Amino acid sequence: MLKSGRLCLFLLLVACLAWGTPLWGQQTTVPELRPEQLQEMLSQGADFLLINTMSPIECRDHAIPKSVCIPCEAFGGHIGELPDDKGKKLVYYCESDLCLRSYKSAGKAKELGYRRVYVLKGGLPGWKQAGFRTVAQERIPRRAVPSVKAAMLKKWLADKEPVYLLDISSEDAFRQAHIDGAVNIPFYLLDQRYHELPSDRKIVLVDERGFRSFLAACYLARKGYQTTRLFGGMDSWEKMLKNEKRAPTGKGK
Amino acid sequence: MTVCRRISDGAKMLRQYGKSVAVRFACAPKANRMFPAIIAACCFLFVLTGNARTENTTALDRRSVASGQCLQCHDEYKFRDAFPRSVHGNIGCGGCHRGIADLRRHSRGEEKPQPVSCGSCHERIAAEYLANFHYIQEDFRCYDCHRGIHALTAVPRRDFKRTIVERCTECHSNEEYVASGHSEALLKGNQDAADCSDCHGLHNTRVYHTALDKYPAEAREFYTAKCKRCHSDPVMMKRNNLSPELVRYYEETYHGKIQSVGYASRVAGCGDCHTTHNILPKSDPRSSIHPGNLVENCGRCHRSFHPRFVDYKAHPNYRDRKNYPSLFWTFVFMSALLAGTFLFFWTHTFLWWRKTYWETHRLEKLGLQAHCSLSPQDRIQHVQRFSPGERIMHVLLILSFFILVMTGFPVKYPEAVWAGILMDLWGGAANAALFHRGAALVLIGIVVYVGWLSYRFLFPKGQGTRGWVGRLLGPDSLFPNLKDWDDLKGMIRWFFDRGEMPKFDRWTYWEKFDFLAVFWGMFAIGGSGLLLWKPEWSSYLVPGWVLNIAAMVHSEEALLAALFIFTVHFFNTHFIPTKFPMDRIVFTGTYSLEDLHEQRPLEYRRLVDTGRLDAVKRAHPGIPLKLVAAAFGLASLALGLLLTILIFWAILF
Repeated sequence: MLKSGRLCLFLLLVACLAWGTPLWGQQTTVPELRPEQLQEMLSQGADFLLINTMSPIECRDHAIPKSVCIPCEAFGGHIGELPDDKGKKLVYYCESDLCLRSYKSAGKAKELGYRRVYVLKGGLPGWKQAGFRTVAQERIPRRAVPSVKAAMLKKWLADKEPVYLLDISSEDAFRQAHIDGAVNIPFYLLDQRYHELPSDRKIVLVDERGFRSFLAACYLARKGYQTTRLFGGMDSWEKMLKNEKRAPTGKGK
Repeated sequence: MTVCRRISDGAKMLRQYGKSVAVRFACAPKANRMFPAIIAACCFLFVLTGNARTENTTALDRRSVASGQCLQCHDEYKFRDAFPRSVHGNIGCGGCHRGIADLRRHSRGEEKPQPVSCGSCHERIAAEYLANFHYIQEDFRCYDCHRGIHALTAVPRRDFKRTIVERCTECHSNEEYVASGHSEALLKGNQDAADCSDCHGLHNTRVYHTALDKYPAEAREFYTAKCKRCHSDPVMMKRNNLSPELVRYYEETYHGKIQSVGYASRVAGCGDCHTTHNILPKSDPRSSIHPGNLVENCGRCHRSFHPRFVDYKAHPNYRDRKNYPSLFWTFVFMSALLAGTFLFFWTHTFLWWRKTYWETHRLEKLGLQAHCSLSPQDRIQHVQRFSPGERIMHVLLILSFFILVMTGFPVKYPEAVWAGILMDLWGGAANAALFHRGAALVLIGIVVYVGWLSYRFLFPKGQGTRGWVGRLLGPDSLFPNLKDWDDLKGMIRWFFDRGEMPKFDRWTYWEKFDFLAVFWGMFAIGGSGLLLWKPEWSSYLVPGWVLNIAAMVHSEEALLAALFIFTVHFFNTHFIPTKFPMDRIVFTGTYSLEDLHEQRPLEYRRLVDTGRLDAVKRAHPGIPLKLVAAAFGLASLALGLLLTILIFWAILF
């Protein structure tokens, strides 16, 4: 009786720990900087390296002043661009507060031995929301890019509409989930590989959350491609599939 | 400010680029001596013509600069012909393209104008736009939407909404909106119908526009407020043959109340049932609220329900006897019950207070003391009235009742200032709901236990059903009998100084009412509460419209119970002048033999006659028990009175 009681207590403890672990896991070990702090560092001319982890196309389009472009996915190929001094402050940012690219890059930098690595809280949108300016090297003219919702795209695919599904997510994200028939050219390689795309079909751009496909579509449209984008990206696609699984019929669900 | 800037910019350009007649003249070396005279003449003319013409004059000058200077190189059609006719034609090229100091350097490409800042004139829009999703996420600038800015002409008011829809749907090809009732009305020229900007904002399109998962509360609150803004406008709704009351009816339901109290993410807002874009009338088979689609529609939030669950009315009008008869008559019944109960008991309470106060005053004035036939030794002897089990039950009852009131009433009166504060104290609507259910379980447990005790009282072990009628109507029973009716009449006579106060036995008629009211309350509140606990499962027992009735019964009966306890019960037991401020007996369990003799003479006589008096004698309660009883009792009374004030505050204001 006593033994079974202890066993129950132990199992309860394990369950509590298991339940609590993801919460701890979510906590980042990389400290965050607020946009105001970054602005102060920039205005004071502090000695640090500000790194944009987005694709070269996005980096050229608009970025925080004085930032260098090292796409997260291409981290390994740009190690030489990082300072030799491991004590120098590095600040990473990416395209949204939901994006993990800056955290991934920051983690890799820490693995390389950099001691003072930070991430900009809220990313580039947070910076803009705080009212600070951006600079453009080569701004891509925005244009009206039609979007298609997940349910409609599914119908297009079922009807065998002549569309080319281009997934611009990273290789890892594409491996985890993608729409059947989609071809992966990660955004950070799009400027090098866009010529692989067919010009006789409408290209439907798919990204992770629908935030990046617009700029990619504008970029490709300027190259002469006919583009559409999946509204809400893979997030909305997966949500649609989930909703369909619930299939409400008859007695509730 | 803007005008001044425009004037100074214009003058600067005139001086610097000076090829127009006046400026060329001014810049020519020979004319330098005449320059002050010309300026003076200009100032004179300026004063004569008045400030009203300043802007036009400047605009004309600027146009001449645009034509004469900029157009020499930038001579495309859009600059030469379209721009002067555009909405910005009057501010000239320099109004937007500033910062060119040397035209020759500019023509050689050595000097470029400053970036165009629309915000220097459109300040409010620029400030709003900083929070715009399109800017923050996609880095849209003004000219990305306002394309062809040089030929931009004013859109007639009647085409404004249509133009917005056309512009938004260039990217957001929203087939659902285009097929919706709003769009149809708008395309037919109805200026009341919502365009994209009415819900999403024009220059302040919020970030949760597309991030509903991340901002469920903000988004639901924001969009529901947008719907309500038009649909509660009586003039607009009347003009469009719609009811402005529907919003109010929604706000009277559980969904609406939880939203009003500040927890929009927990319940369905307008868009959850009516969808966000495909908003069509109920009669349209494509509509989400068409009877054929309701199972699917409700099923987006609710699970495992019987199809009749969708008979629930989301916007019921309980005042409408024709369309909602069951709800109407429930409302009439509950209102009559509340009015009748309070009319009787508040009158009873007032008359009782009057009589006691006057009587006490009379005795004090005459220096009299109530005569007691007991010996001094007997008078201070304590006797038991409530057993320890009964006292624990009462404490549990108090705690659970307060939790129920404090978690339930913020939902009943969500608009009250205190409702949100109280909800936050519980840590949110979800926590409050959890506490509410927990307290309900305690209360149900107590009532079931009391039911079992009552059963055992009527049918004790070994006796079976023999003599149960006698026990039911006997002096130890809490069931009303004829003596109670006589006592009531006697009390009323006593209130009006027409007789002696009746002599009571163990339980008075008002105590019996308190006891039995709990059973009625449990039937009404408990039954409806259980139905509402898991409404989806309840749909296997009752159709959805019964849940509307259950919600009303639960709410009104709660008001009856709370106010009855906090006013009538508190007075009868504690605030009556002879016991004020409180009677500790329910916590200590005993009172003096003198009190027994005075308050319940018939019980005293029975105890003496049957020789059971010694068996109920107890020691005087100790100081710790008295202190705890006083602290807990007074705190409960204070809290109850505070809650009464809050409830009346919500009802009256």
